[in-house]
Amino acid sequence: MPVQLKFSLTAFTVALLLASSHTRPQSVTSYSKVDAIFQSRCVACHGHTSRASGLNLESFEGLINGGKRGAPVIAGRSSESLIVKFIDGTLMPRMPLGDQLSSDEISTIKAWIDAGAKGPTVAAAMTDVMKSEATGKANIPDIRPTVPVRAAISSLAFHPNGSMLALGGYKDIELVGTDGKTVARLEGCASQVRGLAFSPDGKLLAAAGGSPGQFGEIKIWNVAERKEVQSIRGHRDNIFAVAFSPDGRLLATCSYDRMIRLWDTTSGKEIRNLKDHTDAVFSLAFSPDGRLLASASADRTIKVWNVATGERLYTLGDGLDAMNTVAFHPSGKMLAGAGADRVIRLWEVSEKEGHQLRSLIAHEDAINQLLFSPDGKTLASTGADKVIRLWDAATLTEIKVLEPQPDWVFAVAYTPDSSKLAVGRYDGSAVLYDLRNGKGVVLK
Amino acid sequence: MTHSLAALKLTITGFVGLFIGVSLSLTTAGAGVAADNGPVVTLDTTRPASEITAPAGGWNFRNHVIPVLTRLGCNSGACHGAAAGKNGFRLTLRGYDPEADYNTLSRQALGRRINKIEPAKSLLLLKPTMAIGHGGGKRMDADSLEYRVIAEWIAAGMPAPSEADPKITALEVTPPQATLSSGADTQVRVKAIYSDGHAEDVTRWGKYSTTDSGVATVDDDGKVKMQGSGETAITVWYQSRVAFARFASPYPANIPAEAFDRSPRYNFIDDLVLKKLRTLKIAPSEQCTDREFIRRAFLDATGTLPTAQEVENFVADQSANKRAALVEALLARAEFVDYWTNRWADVFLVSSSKLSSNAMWSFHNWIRESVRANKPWDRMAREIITAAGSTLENGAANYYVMHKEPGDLTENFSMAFLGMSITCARCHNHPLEKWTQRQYYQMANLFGRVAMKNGQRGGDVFVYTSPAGEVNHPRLNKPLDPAPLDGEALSLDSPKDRREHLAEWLTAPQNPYFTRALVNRVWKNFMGRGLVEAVDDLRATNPPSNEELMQALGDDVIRHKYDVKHLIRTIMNSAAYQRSSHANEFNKQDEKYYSRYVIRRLKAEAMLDAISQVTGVPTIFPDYPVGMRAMQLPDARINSYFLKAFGKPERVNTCECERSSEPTVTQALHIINGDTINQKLRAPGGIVDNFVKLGFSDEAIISHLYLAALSRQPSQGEKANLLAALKESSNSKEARRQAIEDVVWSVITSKEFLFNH
Repeated sequence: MPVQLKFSLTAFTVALLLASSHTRPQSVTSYSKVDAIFQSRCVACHGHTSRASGLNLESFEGLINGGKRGAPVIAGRSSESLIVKFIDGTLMPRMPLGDQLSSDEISTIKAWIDAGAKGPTVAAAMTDVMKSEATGKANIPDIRPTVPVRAAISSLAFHPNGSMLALGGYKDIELVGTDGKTVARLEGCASQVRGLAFSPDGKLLAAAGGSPGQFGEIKIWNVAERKEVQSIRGHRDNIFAVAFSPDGRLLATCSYDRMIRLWDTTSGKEIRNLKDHTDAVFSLAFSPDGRLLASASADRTIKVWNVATGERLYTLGDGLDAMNTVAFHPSGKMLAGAGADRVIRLWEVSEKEGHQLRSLIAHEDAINQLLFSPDGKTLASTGADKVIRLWDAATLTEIKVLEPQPDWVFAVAYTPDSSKLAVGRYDGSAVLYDLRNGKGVVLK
Repeated sequence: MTHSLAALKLTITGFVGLFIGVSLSLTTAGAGVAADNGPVVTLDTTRPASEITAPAGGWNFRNHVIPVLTRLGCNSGACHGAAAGKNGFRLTLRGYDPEADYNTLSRQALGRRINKIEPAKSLLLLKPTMAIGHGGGKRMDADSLEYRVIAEWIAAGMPAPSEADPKITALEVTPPQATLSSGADTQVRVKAIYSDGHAEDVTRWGKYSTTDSGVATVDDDGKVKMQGSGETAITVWYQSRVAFARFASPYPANIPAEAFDRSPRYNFIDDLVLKKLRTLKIAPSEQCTDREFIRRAFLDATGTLPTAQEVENFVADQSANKRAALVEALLARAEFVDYWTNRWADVFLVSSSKLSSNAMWSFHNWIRESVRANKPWDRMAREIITAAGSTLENGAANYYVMHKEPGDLTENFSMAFLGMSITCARCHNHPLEKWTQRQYYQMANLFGRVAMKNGQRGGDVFVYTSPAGEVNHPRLNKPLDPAPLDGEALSLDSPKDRREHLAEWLTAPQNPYFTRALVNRVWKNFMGRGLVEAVDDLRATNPPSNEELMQALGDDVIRHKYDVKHLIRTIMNSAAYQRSSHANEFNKQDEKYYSRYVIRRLKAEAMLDAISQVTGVPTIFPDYPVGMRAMQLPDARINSYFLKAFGKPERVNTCECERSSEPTVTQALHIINGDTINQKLRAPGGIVDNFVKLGFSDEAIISHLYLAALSRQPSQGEKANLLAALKESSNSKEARRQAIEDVVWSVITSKEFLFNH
C-alpha cells in the first residue's frame, strides 16, 4: 500500500511538472539563471564547505538534497517553497543576510520553481556559463595601466620533439622555435593562460585558464595548422593546470573551484568530475601508464585517483600547509609534492597506497613548482624565495642552484632531452637555462 | 566638514574653539598645502573621492592599499584576516605583514587575484564591488576613494612595499579633548605624520572605539555622539598606531562651587581628584567617620579588622593627626607584611604547582623579606629579572623556573611589570595596540640566554646566563636584535647581559609603563577602582580616568625612588581615600572619579580571617601551624572550600581577573548555612563560649560584638531588637547560648561585616 501511494504521488508530481511546463510555453527559466544568483549571493554561506543550515546551493544536487529545514524547493509551487519564503521575508531571517535580492532576482527564482525547478543540462550549463561573464559588462570601469606592464608567463610546454616551446601569457600563447624566434601566436583565450600541454603525439596543444571567480576555459589547437579545434568552458573558477593522459585521449584540468575534471580530447565532452578536495586544486600529474592521476591542493593534501573509475585511491596528508605542486617520476613509482610548508616530499606510490620516502626543507619560502626531468634523474624546484634548485631525484641531494631569479617563477619546463630548463616568470620574462653550465638564454 | 555647531553649544572650551579654527583651515587649505606651519598634508581622505588625486609617488601599498583593505574589513579576523583565511584567500590580520600580503595579492595562486593588464578585471576589485559574487558582500562602490586607491595602484604597476616607504611617526587626533553636552555630536579628525615629514588626514580609514559607550559612542567614520554624563576616550587605531581624544560631558547638575571648595585637600591627590569632579560636576561625599576610617584602613592595608580595643582607643584619641598616625602604625605592622606579600605573590604566581615545595617557600620568603624591608619596587623588579643562582638561596630566581619558554616569559613579564598584555603579538601585530609581532620577538630574545641546570639539593634549580642562545622570529626564521618593546635594541653579538638591558629599560624613570602599573595596582587596592580598568590593561587605547592624577602619582613614585610604603601612605592620607561611602544627590552614578569611597566585598582571605578573628576560632589549614591566617598562606594550592568559593586566585596566570569578586550562590549558601561559620560559633573557647562562660551581660555582648565586627556601637534600634531577642531566650542555658549564636551569626553574615566601606 505505501509503495503504491508513493508511486501515485510521483506520478502526480510528474503530471504537475508537465502541466506547469505546458502552461508556460514561452521561455522556461533555466537552472543556470537561478544558479547564477545562488553562486553570487548564496554560496558563501550555503556552499560546499560552509553549508549553513546544512544547505549547499553550489550544485543542483545540493539544492535537491536540501538542508536541515527540509527541501528548499517544491516544484511548481514557488509560494510554498522554503527558499522563496526566506528570500521574500515571509520567514526570518530574511535571506541573504545583508543586501536583499532584487525583485527581478526573486521573480527569476519563482519563475524557475513554477516552471518545474528543472536541473541543468550539460549543453545549457556550457552556454550559460559563457554568458555569465561579468567582466564583459560595460559597468566595469575602464582602467588602463599607466606604466608599461608585461603579462606573466604562467605556463610553459615543450613540444615532444623539442622543436618548439609554448609560452602562456595573457589571453594568448606564443610558440617559439629552437632559435628563440616566435613561430606563431595563438590568440583568443579569455584571460591568463595558466596551464599548457602538448598531446603526447605532438599534434595538439591544450591551453587552460579562464576568468578567476567566474569560469574555467580550455582551448585545444591543432599545432600544425595553428587552428583552434576545441573551446570548452567548464569549472566554476579559473583552471590552474592541464595535462594530457599518456594515450592522448583524455585531458585533466584542476581549478580553484576544488574540482578536477576529465575531458574527452576529441569531443570536448566532460567525462568525469573528481571531487574530494576541500580547497583549490593547483596542480595535477598523470602517471606514465595513465592509470593514476595525482593532484595537489590548498587543502594540504595530495590525492591519487583511479583515472578509469574516478575513484579516489588514497590521500597523502603529510603536508603541513597548502600543496602547490605535484609531479610523477617517469618510472611511475615515485611522486614528488611541495607547497607552502617549504618541504619537498617524495612518496613511493602504487595503485594501492603511497608512503613517504624522503622529505627536506628545500626553500626559504613556499615552493610553487616541482618537475622531474624526462630522463628521471633530476628534480627542479622553485618558489616564492625566487630560487631554482636542482636535486638528485633519487637521493634528494642538491645538485645545483641556478642564478637568483628577479621574480617568482610561475612555470618550468624541461626540454625532452632533459638538458635544458625553461622558466617563465611573473614579470613576463622567460629564460632557457642550459643545465650543464647553468647559463641562461633570454627568450623574453 | 560635518561639525555641528549646535553640538558645542553648552560648553565650548577654548580648546574646541581652537580646533574649529584648525579644521576649517585644513578644509580650505586642501591637499598639498601646509596647515598652521604643520607638516604638508598630501592627502585628505575626508574630501570627496572625485577631488582626491594620488599623492606624488602614487598610492603606496604599505601606506594606502593596506589601510584601505583594513578599513573595508577585508583583513579582519572574521574575514580574510582569519588564521585560515576565507575561501582560500588569506591576508595578515589587519595588514600586519605588508610584504606577505603583497605576495598573496599579486603572485600567490598564479596571480589570480590581480589582473595587471586589465586592472578593473582583478578579483580584488570585482569581488568587493559585487560585480561578481562575494561571500563578504559589497564592501565598496566603484566610484569610492577605496576603489580608486586599489585600481590606480594596480594600474601603476603594483609598486611593492619597500624599506624606503615613509613610516608613520605619529598619529594625531583633533580635538585632543572636548567637553560637550549630552546628545551632541561632533567629528574627530585623524592625521598621520610620516617619517619623511609629510602628513595625511586619514580620518576615513581609522578604526574607532570608545572606552565608555555610556558616555559617548563613535561610528566607523569617527563621528562622536555624546550619550550620557562622564568622560570617555575615543580611541583610533591606524596601521598599528594608536591615539585617543578625551570627550567629557558634565553631569547636568548645578553644584555650588563651595561643594568643591569646602572639600578637604590633604595632598596633591585631592587637588587633582577635585579638579576632575568639578569638571564633570560631581559633588564629593563628606569625609568618613573615625570608626569607618579605622576599619577601612585596617582592612585595606593589612587585611585584618581592628580589635574592639583598638577602635575605642582610636575614637578616644583627641590628637589632630591621629589618622596619619594610624596609617604610620599600620605600615609598621606585621600584618602589613603578610598582606602585601600575598598581594605580590598573586602577581608572581607563587605556587607549588610549578615549583617544588621548598622552592615555593623560597620564593615566598624572598617576597616577604622584600616587603618587610620595604625594598623599592624597581629593585624588586630588577632582582627578579636578573635573578641567577640557586633557586633555594635566591627565591627570585624561581621566576625563571615557572616561566621557561621565552614567549611565556615575555608575556608574563609584560603582565607583571608593565600591567599590559602583549600576547596577541605572539602571532600577529596587536590589533588594538601599537605592539607588533616584531617587537614581541625582539623582547622574547632578551630571554634567549636564560639557562638552567639541576641544583645540588632536591628541588633546587640553578639559573644562569648562557653565553649563547637566540629566539627565532617564527616567520622570518631568524633571531632579531633583542629589544624591550619600544626600548633600544642590543646587537645580536653584544656581550652585555640581555636581562640587564631589560632591567635598565624597565626601571628607567622615563619608562611610563612600569611606574603606572605599580601606581594603578596600589591605587586600586585602596580606592576600589584602578585609574585604569582592568587594573592590568594599561593600553594606550585604555587611558586612565584621571590622566593628570596618574601622571602626578607616577612622578611622586619616581621622586621617592619607588618606595611602595610612601605611595601607600600618600594615598591613605588623602582626603579622597577618607571620604564616606555614602552617596550624595550629585554622585550617585559615579563609580569612576573617586567622589566617594567605593564599597567592596572583603577578599577571600581577609573575609575568612575576619570571621576567625571575630569568633575567636582560628581556621585550621592542613600542614600549616594552628593560628596561621589565610592571608599568610604561602602557597596558592590550598584545600579550602571557603577560599575557593570566595575567589582566591589559583596563581596560574598573572591576571587580575584570576581573583574573582563576583557574587555566587555558593558564597551565599556557604555564608548562611555553611560549616565555616557554624563550626566557629559552636567551637569551645570561641566568642560565644566566652560570652557565656564569662557571664557577659546582654548589653556587653552586643556592644563588644559590634565593636569587634563592625568597629561601631549598635544603633538604638539595633540594640533594642537584639536585647529583645536575647531576653526572650533567657529562661534556659541552652536557649541563651543558641540566642547568642544567632546574634553573632546575624552580625557576621551582614553585608556591613562582609564588605569594606
